[in-house]
Amino acid sequence: MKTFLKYLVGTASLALSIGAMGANDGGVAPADAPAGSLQDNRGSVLCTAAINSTGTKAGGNTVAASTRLSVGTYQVTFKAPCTAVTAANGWMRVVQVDTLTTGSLPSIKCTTADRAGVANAVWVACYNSAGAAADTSFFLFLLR
Amino acid sequence: MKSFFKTLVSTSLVLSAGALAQTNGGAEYPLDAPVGSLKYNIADVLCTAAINSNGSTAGGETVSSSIRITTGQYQVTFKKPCQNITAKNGWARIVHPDTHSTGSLPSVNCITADRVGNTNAIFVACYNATGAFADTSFGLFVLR
Repeated sequence: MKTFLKYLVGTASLALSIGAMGANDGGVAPADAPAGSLQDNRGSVLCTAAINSTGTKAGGNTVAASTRLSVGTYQVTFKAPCTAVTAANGWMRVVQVDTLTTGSLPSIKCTTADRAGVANAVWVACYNSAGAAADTSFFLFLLR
Repeated sequence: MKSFFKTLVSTSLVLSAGALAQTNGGAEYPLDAPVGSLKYNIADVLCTAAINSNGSTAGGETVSSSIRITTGQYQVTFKKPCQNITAKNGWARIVHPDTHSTGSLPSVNCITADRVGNTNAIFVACYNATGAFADTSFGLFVLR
């Protein structure tokens, strides 16, 4: 019984953690930022990442870690010179869906955001043509 | 009678402005450009803009003004060095949905175009998964 309860608590905690992680602390809607609140961005690409659909890093010397959080959602963490890569700090990001090899991909699009709780990371959420979360490989560019 | 005509003229102006805003001077299909007609672009990001879903400017020192024309449609006007930023003049642009904060966005994608009647501006139109116009925050990059 004790083991069962331990398992139950453990499973519930894990599920809640993953759920919270998946929400990225802001809901699924434009969060926006106060007008004029973001630092200036000069459009220089300082870091790039090539991420596989499984979340593994295919390339990117400035990528510290990357992970697939759940279907279609990824966390890509960078190291210097790309630290504290929040929009408020003037960072901008672009995702380009790409096979990273030959082949082709179905209709898919991705959005980006600051990663809640990890200032060195970017949140990437990808969707298929029906609007459902979908895994994909992609390039990620960070500009400052 | 004079008053009636005045109202009629005013109404026409409003309708014209509405048509201009929503069609951006062309139909909703690729207009394309004559082969080889665009000036050369060496892919320098000269201006960036972080635009909120309500059209306000969250960041971008080279943004002169930004407005939400109607649902999912935006006009972002730039100042120097981004002047006469038409495709014909060799300018390219990239738009990418981003929360400018934490949180996440639903499936949304945006397209860009020259802004009819304003050569210092970019027209941005954003759509949800079903293809309907949808408001979103986004990053806009202008390259030359």
